[in-house]
Amino acid sequence: MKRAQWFLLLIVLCVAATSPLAAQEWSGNIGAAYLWQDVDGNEDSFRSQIDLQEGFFLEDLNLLYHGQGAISEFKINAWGFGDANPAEAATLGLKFGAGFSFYFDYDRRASFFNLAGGDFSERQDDWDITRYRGEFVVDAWRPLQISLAYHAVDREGTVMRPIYGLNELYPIGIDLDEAMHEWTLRLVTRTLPVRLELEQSMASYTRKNRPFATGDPAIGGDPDELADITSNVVDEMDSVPTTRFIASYSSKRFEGVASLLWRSADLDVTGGEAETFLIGGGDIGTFNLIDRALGSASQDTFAGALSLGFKLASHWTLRLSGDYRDGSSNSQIAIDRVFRVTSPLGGDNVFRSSYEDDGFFDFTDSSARLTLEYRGNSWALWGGGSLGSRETSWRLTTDESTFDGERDSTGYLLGASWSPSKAVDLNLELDRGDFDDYIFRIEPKTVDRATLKVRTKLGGGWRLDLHGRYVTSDNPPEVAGLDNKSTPYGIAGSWTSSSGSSSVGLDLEHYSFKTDTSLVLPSGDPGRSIYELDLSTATLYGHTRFGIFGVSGSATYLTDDGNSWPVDAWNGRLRLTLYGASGLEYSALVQYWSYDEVQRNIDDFDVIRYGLAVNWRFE
Amino acid sequence: MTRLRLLVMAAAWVALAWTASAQEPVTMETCAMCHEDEAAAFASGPHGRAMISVDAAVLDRSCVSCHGPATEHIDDPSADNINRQPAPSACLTCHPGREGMTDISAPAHVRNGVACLDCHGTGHTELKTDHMLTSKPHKLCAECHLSESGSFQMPYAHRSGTRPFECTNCHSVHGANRQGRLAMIGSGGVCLDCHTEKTGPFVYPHPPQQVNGCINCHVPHGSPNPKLLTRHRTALLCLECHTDVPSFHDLSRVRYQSCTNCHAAIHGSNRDPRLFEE
Repeated sequence: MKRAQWFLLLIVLCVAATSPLAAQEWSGNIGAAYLWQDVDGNEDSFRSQIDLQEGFFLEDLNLLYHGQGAISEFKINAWGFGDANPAEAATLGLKFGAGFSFYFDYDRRASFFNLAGGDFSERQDDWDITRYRGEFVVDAWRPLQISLAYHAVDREGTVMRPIYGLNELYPIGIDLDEAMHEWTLRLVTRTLPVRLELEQSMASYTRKNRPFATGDPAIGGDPDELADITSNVVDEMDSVPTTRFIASYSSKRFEGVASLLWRSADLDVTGGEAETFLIGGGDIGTFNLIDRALGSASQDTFAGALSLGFKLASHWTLRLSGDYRDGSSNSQIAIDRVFRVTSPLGGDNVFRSSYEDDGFFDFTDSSARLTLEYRGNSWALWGGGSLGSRETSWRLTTDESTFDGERDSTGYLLGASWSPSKAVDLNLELDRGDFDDYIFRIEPKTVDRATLKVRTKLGGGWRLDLHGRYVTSDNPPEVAGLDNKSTPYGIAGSWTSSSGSSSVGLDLEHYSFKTDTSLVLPSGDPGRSIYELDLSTATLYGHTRFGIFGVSGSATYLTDDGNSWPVDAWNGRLRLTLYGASGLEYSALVQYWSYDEVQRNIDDFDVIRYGLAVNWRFE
Repeated sequence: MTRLRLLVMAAAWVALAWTASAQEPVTMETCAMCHEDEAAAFASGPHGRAMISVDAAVLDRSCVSCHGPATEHIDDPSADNINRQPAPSACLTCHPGREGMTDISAPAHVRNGVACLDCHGTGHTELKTDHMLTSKPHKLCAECHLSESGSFQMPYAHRSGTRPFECTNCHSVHGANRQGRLAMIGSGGVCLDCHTEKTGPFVYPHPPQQVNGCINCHVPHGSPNPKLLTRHRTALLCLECHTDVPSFHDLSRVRYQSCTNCHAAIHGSNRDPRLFEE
């Protein structure tokens, strides 16, 4: 765990411990665990999927105080801090008696990626996304709630990936430095018949990623080496204003919500990149590429949505909804390139080129849907239709011609639900959508979807749920010959004791998905893209408590028998708890994962984790 | 005469007392005469504290606000003449705006009989979760959305170690009036809340991302593919749209089997129209 995170956790604990409120009544719990880990197989593959490691971590921290003083509520939630977990989060909430409150959220998620096989075997990720969100809310004046919020996102770490160099792939590293900061002022009316919400935010985005040469040879075995790569490129949006407005009204006969949003973003691109290659390992000479760019892109977006609901009579409801989105962007760039070839004997050849480019990207989307619903005492029927349109126009570079695409779509929806008692809920829905014109060739001409759900409470704590969906989508052979079918379905049964102290359940899920799309291969020959998943998942879970002992656990088996990339995987967890005096709980944990790719084994793993945890609950 | 006067005065006093008692609103104090523990727990619980922060009178009326008129119940205490389980309409009395518009904003929940108290606690007990939820959001949603919940068991999924991401991180349970960054819906929507570097604009955008958003190529919940792609092989995914790839891309060679080896800035580039560099 980084020093900053420890520091943050320390502050949170110190605030709690030294607060004048500490002498007052607190409730909550705090739990920590230490886990050991044995890995058999590819540990990086395990980290790419689950990213758990050996060490300490905070299982759970919840502190809550409430009283009648200047601070009416003080709340802290946190989990994950420690080396064993890939994520951590903390929330601080303060409510002051005078009608003010303050909230602060922090979370950090690590991303690790390093597989030995597959399409991404040349890529490695080791970076974090850290998010902070603070909000100060003024509730002191009843008619209006005012809040000021700050939101920040940072991505830092390293990516290793290939770069296309001298007609070959060369491994490079990139130190990530990306940040977003946003301030938001929000006003919400609370006493007007129509609730109004106005939000104005101002954001900035920066990206200052820095590549570096790893010293490794070219991936294809080329004798030319990438000796150095440097960059001072900065991509920056100084001030991105977003204005959001929402109006909502509800009465016994009518509900309505309208929302509008405007966003305007201006991007500036500056700086350059320099690459040095040693030709033939330096024996033949060196090649330098210096690339300087000055570019910009602007984007204006307007979006609106409207939802209306009318109670026409005691059983009839009419719903009308629509949305509209219009975006327009323009970009320009000027690039200077200098190529320099240096002979080991001292000769220098310099070539210079420069070009300017511009492009645009415009789109307009709109849609409307009308549904009519009849709701009886134990059943409901609904149906409706939808219309949509999309217009796009773009030209990405000066040299290419403008692409214009336009299409209209229609669809309808029919559904029924039946709930003869609190024990049974049955829901069936069919919908279909189609259009004739294509923006992208893989878009389906028609989509048909049927969904069935049955939820039952059988009594005595037993519950049985069934659900299934059948989705097909296709388009004609002259477009892409697209043929997609997807069928997820499952059954879940569970039992819970009347006191809630024991439960057991079994979930069985199956998901089959097959796509078949015509291709034109780079060679010009026809081809097909066929992808087939045939996933089955079974999860058994339960918990019980007898006296001072408790046990909880789950086991999941997943298998994909599809032809594309079959795998088998297991996951199991078991936790034994001893409930001691004064709210103390002592637990022993065992966790297990296995992953087995059928066609090869370089990314397979078996991992067992085991450890101890202590949790203290206090009121 | 004195007797008559006394009789009239007594009758008037009884009538006044009866009228006064008939008009007196049923308050928490009245209910607490029988339901002392429930009233005390509610008043000191999260719902009671929220009510009193608005107005003490709101807490005073809270029992009848949720459980309905109690006059009959006071005269003849019975489970049959009181709403033991408050209907959604009771919640919407005080929460009509942002959260309350479920009938039009989340009709699927309404049609399937999902009511407020299926996910939220009443406030009679202290809950450690935000928004008085009775459990973590992913557990509550999983009770109905089993397939979606099962997706997080896939080898690669949006989770933090053993924990799946909370559904409410991305989904707006109460419907359209809680939309966040509406402008970004087409080009990524909620994904951009964390993956801010893909927000754009770009000097050279990738049109599918701009038009259809991230789900044009990615499945967000979970996938057998390491980058949550909709196909197992990257090249096959790209070639479904790109029908004019230059012939030197020899698919039998490893370097051409993953297009993003060279076209690394697949979400948009600020320097290269071929999306070679960010």
